[in-house]
Amino acid sequence: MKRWTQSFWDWIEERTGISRVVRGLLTEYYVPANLNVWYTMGSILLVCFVIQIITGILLLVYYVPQTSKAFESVKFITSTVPFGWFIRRMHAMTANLFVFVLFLHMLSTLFMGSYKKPREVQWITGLLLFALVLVEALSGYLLPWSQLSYWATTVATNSVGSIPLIGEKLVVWLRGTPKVSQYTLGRFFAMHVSFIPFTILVVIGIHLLFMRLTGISAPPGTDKSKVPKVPFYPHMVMKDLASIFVFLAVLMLLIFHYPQFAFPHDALIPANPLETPLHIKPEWYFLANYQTLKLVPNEFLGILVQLLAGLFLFFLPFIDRSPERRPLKRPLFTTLATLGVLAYIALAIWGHFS
Amino acid sequence: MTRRGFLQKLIGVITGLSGLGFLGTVIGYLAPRREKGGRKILLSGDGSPIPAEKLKEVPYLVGLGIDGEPTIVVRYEGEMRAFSAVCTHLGCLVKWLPNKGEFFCPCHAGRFDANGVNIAGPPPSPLRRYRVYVTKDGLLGLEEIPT
Amino acid sequence: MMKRILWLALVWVIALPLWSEVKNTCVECHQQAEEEELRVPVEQWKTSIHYKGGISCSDCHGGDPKQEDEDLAMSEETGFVGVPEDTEIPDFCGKCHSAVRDNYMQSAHAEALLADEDGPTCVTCHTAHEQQRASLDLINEDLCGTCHDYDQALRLKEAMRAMEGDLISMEARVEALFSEGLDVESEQRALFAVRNRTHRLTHVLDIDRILLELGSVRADLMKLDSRVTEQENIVRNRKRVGTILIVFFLLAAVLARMYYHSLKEEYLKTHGGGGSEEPPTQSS
Repeated sequence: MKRWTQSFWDWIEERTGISRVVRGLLTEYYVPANLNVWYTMGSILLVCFVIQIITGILLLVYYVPQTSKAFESVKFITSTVPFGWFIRRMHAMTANLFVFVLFLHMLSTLFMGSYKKPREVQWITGLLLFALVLVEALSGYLLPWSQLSYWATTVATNSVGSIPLIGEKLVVWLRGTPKVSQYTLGRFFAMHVSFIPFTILVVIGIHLLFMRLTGISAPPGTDKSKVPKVPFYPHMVMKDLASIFVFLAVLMLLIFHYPQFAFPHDALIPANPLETPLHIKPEWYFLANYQTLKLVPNEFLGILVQLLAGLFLFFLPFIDRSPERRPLKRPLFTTLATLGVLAYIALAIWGHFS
Repeated sequence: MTRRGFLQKLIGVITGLSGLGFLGTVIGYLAPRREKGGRKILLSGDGSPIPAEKLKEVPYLVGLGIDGEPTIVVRYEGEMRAFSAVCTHLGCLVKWLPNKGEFFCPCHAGRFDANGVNIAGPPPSPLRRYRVYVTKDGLLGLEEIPT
Repeated sequence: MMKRILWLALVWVIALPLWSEVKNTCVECHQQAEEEELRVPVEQWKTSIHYKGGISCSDCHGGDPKQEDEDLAMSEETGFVGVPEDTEIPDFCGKCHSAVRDNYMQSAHAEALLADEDGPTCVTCHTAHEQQRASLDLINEDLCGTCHDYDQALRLKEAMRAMEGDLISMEARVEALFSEGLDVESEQRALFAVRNRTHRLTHVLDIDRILLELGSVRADLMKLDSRVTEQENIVRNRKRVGTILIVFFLLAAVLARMYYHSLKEEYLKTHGGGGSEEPPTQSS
């Protein structure tokens, strides 16, 4: 067995010199030995993406994107197909954790100042990935065609309508019809299983490519040229693996013990376009936006505020240009960022209880 | 073995087990389903039962039989006979030639006699035979013949 | 049954806003009536479940609450009945509570009523205008003891109470399974049937018959119980597997962490600290 794999490897090596590439990527790629746990978030996110692709393809095997059959087909998956409930819960729970770990990844980048020169492209592609994952989450939400799906999508697409002049047209365009319908399901389905995932894949590629080209940052306050280095494989991979296992433990906790987190009561009854459920709230990661929209008297103003916040984050590396990365040495930024995060959390909690 | 060597092996085993466990789940998830069992009546393509009367109008009937198997029922020498319509060569469905009293497969011209025995062409084995009877509702009942 | 409830609900939903907007001459006049016996029903009605549900005078008594004129409002053409005879009461209430009426008509109470026009009617227990949401507490010594021995009524009450408790706990169990995402449609249907059969029994008031029927209802409930228990075991087993997996992954995380540290220590010992080993491509 060993001999066979060895000779196969040799056969490839002789033609391509692949071992040089592998060494460059893994064993002779050196990273600072003092990388902290926040540097492992990226690997967790990659695992999330892979899980979503695999479970997503598996769900596609039995799912039917047709309003009269979608809910039944999902119910078939969860109650008849062996392990179907597990695959579906895994897909939904990973989606939630995906967004959560993205928050952590971005916040650590923010506080450690890793978005600064020369890593602006990672920051911008990262923000783009965040937006794409949110769109992916939103579009996937409609597919089971449950009460929750239907009304969450109705509300979410409706909020676009407050944009002046084109808003109303845009809503219809997003939905494919004036009301959420089969046409909406069709375009959301195509978006969810094909367009967005492929785009995410490409952007991940750019994100990682630039990370390798600029090299990974050392934790703030340490001089990268002076800290000891360890090879990426096996050292950093093991560190990543430890975090990934913790992530999997949390995922299992949600899947097995708190299914209601992703599937509240309204997610378990089929969509009824003639009856709005009593407490219709967006997912936790949209709660802050939802509350902002409710607080700002003019809906368009609410959207504008959020758009400006997004744009500010987007151009952050070009606004904040000092090379200093230590949080305590840039008190203004750290204070503002902390307040921003607290405000976001407060809005989300407010949104949850309002 | 050193402590580190042991740890390395352990991590390998754990990662492998996680992967295998997930793979097992996926295989279970994709496991093929049997057609609903216990359905022992000849059905038409849309799932409605075929009345036995129909066999008086046409020389043979093809429908879905036990476990969804395409089944051919013919009237031959005053009795009804039922066979799997699936040619034992490459799976095309056979037709009944009432004048010759033979089954004929249109794909590669395989032929079977009225007992389902392969008599010409490439088919390697006989057609599977079923016991057929008219139920009290006037439908065509099928039963497996134990081999 | 279900259909009737839905109809009632629909009528209720439509009637509520109409009723609250349109002025009601029955209430207006009776409220200001000089005779106390004409005033009291309105005051009592305002404390009743009928008032909360938007059921007004004319829904039971007929008449036309939109007419200003007293005679027109209570004319014969509007089907007005001021005070129904005792024997008319079952049909009077049964206009809406028809299933209950049917059950009552099979009871000893109805028998007594029809025999000498002196048996207890709906209002004997539920009052004429102060009806509250019915509960088993209506069966009590004061009320039943007015006419007969309480023993039999108490037995009936206990039997019904046990059943009611079992129904409520079964409902909670089925709901819990539903929220776990299990397909419990057939269980929900079975539960609805059992509950329906139980509630229909209330007014028959024949202890032997109720006990007999409750026995068969309970048999159905036991069948349902075993199915629900089966599903609950599935949920419990899943959670067990989940816990094992959580422990497994946490353990794996600890081991990977240990392995990482031992690797790093070893490497830094043999290759020395400092950045001297830095490959040429790495710089920042």
